[in-house]
Amino acid sequence: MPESRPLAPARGLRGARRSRARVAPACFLFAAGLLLPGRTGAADTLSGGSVSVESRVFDPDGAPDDAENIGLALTTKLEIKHRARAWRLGLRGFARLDALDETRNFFDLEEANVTYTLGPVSLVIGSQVLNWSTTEAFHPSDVMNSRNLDSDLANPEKLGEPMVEMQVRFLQGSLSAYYMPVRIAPNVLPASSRLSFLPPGVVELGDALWIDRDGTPSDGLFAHQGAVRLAQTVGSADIALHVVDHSDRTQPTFTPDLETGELRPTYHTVTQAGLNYVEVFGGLLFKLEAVMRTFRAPDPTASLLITPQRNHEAVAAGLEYSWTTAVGAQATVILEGQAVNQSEAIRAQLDPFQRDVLVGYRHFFNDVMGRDLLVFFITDVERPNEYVASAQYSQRLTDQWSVGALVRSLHLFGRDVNQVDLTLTRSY
Amino acid sequence: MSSRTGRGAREPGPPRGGAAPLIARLLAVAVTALPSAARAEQPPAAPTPQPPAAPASDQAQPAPPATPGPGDKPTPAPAGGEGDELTDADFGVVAPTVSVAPPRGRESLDWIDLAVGLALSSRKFDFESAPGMDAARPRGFRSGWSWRPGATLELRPLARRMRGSAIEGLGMLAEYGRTLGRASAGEPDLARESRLHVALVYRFAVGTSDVQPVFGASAGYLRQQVHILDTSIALPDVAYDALALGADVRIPIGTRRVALCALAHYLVVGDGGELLRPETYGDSSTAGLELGLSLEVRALSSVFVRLAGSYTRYSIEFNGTGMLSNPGAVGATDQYTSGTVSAGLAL
Repeated sequence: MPESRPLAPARGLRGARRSRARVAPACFLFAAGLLLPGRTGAADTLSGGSVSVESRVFDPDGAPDDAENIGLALTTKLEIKHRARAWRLGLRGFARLDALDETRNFFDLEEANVTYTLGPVSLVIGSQVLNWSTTEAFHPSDVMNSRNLDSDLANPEKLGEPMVEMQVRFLQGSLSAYYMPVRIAPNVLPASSRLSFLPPGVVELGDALWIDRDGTPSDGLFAHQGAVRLAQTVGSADIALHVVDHSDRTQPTFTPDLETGELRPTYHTVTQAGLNYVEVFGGLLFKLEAVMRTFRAPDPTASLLITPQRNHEAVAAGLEYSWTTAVGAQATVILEGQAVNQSEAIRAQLDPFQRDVLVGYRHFFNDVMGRDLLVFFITDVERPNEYVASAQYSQRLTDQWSVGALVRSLHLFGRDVNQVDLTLTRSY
Repeated sequence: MSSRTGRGAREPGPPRGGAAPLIARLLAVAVTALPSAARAEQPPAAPTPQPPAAPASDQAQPAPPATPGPGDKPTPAPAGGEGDELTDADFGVVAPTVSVAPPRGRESLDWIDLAVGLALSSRKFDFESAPGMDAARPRGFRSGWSWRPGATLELRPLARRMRGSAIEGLGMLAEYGRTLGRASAGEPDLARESRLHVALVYRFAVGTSDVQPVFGASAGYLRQQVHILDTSIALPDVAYDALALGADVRIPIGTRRVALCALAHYLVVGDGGELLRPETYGDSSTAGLELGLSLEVRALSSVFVRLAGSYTRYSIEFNGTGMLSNPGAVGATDQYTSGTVSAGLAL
């Protein structure tokens, strides 16, 4: 029987709709889970997790009066995997309790799914977090999961998406079909958040408004959504094609609700066709994400004044050049860019990174402490005074303890945000 | 004693220790019957590498074989270094050899890079208006294409003196260019543009081959100035004083003589001249981005020709408290495009 072993701390993005009432019990649940030994007694069960103390501090200059400039959160993660013959069960969750900024309290079950595998065919039922991204900063292809916008500005945490996935493996890749029956709204930022870029005068956003496939506005959580993705490795290239038809959560418009006086984020139904391409040329890595988005027009007879979302194309491309230094460290220079094909005024509304370039450098020290440094700078080619500058560093302290730090400065939508994060993590 | 002496007398023959070559000789005769392409043509007692044109042995060599033989390819010396050790070569078997050229170290960075060139340059300036206020937007400006001669000098005094050290790529850069007149003959010159850039530069050559990239980073001062000559144009002059933070890469294409170069400068603008004075359009926030791409061909080892294109864009946000402020001028974009042909020396 294979020996169970502790897992690495759950990576990636997590989140859920804000539900303060559920957060506290969820945290107790996670804490209880983390008290379990890392090596469980069951034969085919793996479990792991981590507890982190996350602190962040913002420069108070330019902040709204009610903004919280300091955050101190306890974050717990738990992951359990169980395998029995052709069946697999996956559970991964995440909870955050902030002692100073209660708007950040959060819980999400990122993965809660059952997998049945029969030969080259797998069936997955349950919540999943998918990664369709190839580039470092710009991710036009990676739209399957909703996001927790109150997290990392450059790469917001993903929320688990309930779905049914059927995957067939063949040749050097697979073909996957997805059905998503539930619409998961993003966790939007409160107006008081330092990371909020709501226009002045907007106190708080209302509930999500969904535009159905026939253009009808809806509050319903359920809708038929689907996707197909073909991924293959051809020579030294990884190629993936996808088609998604779902409620888009990345590019909402805003609809005034005259009854409540609120501004409601409005998510439109979109059909997205896309290509991901990665190829290695010696020390050079080329990455490409290209998508074409076609939105359904809202019903013009609807009582609400709904702004339609514009069809457009987006392309993100990147080059990474890596080499090994004399002391054995891995150095990588990163150059990326993203362009949205629409008129200047419209593309500025579609994406804050509509004509942006990134220059970055990663230095992985390749030592036992796992020291890793990433520095990058993003600027808007059309509006160079909009920028994001970031430096991240992480390393292990012991086998179980690790520390990470982030320093970031940005200017977007006329606002300056300067931020320092420090995270101390104990993994199980 | 004499009989013993006579019985012990020996015929002249090979010295002691020659038994092994003798056996090898016999074996070599035996293997000649084998239809092997690797028949031994080399003297069995001479296992050291034998260049084909200069046999090491004084012994007469047989005629070169029609098929490649040991004499055509150096064979490795025996591991022990002793001549009486039998090797595969003694039996006519040629051990496969792989000759690996020693890695050729990359040449040091050039310590001086001097270029003079002629550019075609144009400027395009547009105000940005608040939503729905396009009618109130002031007129912009188009300079048309103008000739702009210029020069670039980059010095890396440590490149030769401290080769291999971490600071060998440290240097200084100075660039200057100024427009002289319109490219289209007969058209009036609308504006005079000049550009000065001085910076500290650090270049880092990756790897050991000259065809691997050289990355660079720079920090310096950039001044871009435009003086409107046509008095009928009601647009204030600009003189951007900026901190220029840059990164660049030079990528040889197969050979060090042909390379593609790319650069990006982020411009943190401190002062902008008359246009950005608070009394004009109010307090402002300005930043710029300069992108460049060039192809460099070294026809001779130290003479190069460079074709370059660059695009610079300044983005300006006004807070609307100046004397000329109006909803049609809440911001502006100032764009410069140029194409340059230059030639120079790299030593």
